[in-house]
Amino acid sequence: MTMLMRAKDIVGMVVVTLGGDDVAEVRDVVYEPTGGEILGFTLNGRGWLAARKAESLAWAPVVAVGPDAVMIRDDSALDAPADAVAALDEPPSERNVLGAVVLTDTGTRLGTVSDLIVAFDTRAEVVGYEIETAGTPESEHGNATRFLPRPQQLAISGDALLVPDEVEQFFRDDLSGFGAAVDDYRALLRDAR
Amino acid sequence: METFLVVLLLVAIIGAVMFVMTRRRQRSGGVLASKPRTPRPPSDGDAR
Repeated sequence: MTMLMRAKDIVGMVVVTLGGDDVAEVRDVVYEPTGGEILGFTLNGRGWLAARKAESLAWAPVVAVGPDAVMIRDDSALDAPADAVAALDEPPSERNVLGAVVLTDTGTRLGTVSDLIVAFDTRAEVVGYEIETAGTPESEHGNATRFLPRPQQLAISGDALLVPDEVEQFFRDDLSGFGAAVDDYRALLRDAR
Repeated sequence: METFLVVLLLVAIIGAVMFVMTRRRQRSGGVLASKPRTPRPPSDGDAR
């Protein structure tokens, strides 16, 4: 069964072993923007003032992500940086997409990214973006927050996401219609090939 | 002597506040997009 979750809900989530030890907290969610694949997490120590951990957590050893915790088998899943996925060795901290402006390739400003929607089943994949549309023509629809399927053609800089013009028609007002919008958008891409 | 203690207390308070703020900033996370993979330059071994 596929479960949708906001990426911001994962940030700060506790990492727990199947033995019941809470070993870390999620600091950053790191993903691959073209395929949407979640690569893993950078980590903070447990406790309000604990420092950032040198270890990171790649997606492969994650047993499950629930509403309250990221589950791992044991703390050997926390890789030393040299053994982790390359993007986790040197987290691209200048490429935080939260707050980035979303522009279409025809120059229309769609809003700013307020969150990402992650689908979990056997793998974890970013399927779309939550966009704050305040101050744009989209905000005339009455909703300040809308959902946009993750386009496969996507350019990301530190400040902006550039998306194809056609994704604008797949904007949805809530997550209940969002799964269908993602499917429709993928069908459009298949037909275009 | 009292003045010295008051200054010492103020410095300690300011230091503690700065430590907490720095640590909180270090802990604040986000959602990071990985950089595109740059293709490995061809080596002599690839040509063979």
